[in-house]
Amino acid sequence: MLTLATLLCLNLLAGCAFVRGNVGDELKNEDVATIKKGVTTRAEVAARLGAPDEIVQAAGREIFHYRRYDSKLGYLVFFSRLNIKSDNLYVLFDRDGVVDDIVFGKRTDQLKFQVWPFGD
Amino acid sequence: MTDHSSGWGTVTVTVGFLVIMLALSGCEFRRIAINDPIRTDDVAFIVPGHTTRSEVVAKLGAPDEVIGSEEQAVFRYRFRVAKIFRVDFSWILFIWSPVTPDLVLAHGDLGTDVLQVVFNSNWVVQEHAFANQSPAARFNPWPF
Repeated sequence: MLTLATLLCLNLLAGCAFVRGNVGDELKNEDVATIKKGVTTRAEVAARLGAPDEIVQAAGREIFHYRRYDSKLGYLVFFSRLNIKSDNLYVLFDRDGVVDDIVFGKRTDQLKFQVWPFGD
Repeated sequence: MTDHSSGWGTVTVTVGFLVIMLALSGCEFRRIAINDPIRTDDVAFIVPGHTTRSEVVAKLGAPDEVIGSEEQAVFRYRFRVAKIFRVDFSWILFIWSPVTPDLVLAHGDLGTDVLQVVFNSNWVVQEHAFANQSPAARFNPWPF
């Protein structure tokens, strides 16, 4: 019986995997903090954060959109769960090309390795 | 006379256990979750004509996408859950057959939702709605 239990444990360990994947550079709080409303210009934002992933025009504003994806996969024999979350930074400019507002959401801080696929 | 009943009982339990484990080995429960779901209760605070962009961002975080025109902006929050259940019965054949052809039943269920919040040029909410609101994804092996 002990041998059977040992074999079962080894089998479970053999079918175990943890995988992580990222797309895009990390958006750091300290980098975002250097951008000041009413002061920082479009050129300065591009110099500090690099070129945006997307430039959007909405409600009379030009918006730089920076994004990053992070994923964590937990796999244990019969069960697996892949969690994916994104960080999004929007820098809104006024008509003079000066920062009007910043919208920054960091979801990847709460990203977890999980195996159990049931429930929430 | 030797009592073989307890010996046969152990063999039966062991074989039964192995068959169950082999059958389970053919099962796969997979889940893929992209962002946390946003529910109707989560957007109850939004009052068209009053709620501002800052209030929306404070409660829901940054959107996944912003689209718009000269007069409007639309915040789009995307969230998805996919559940995949797969059973491969060829594991059972492995007991007595060196050849194990695939005997697979599998089904994937993807629930996709988008919350759209529309702002006017003063960044006050005009309207909001869930697009493609779908029933929660389920584990279901039957593909037919």
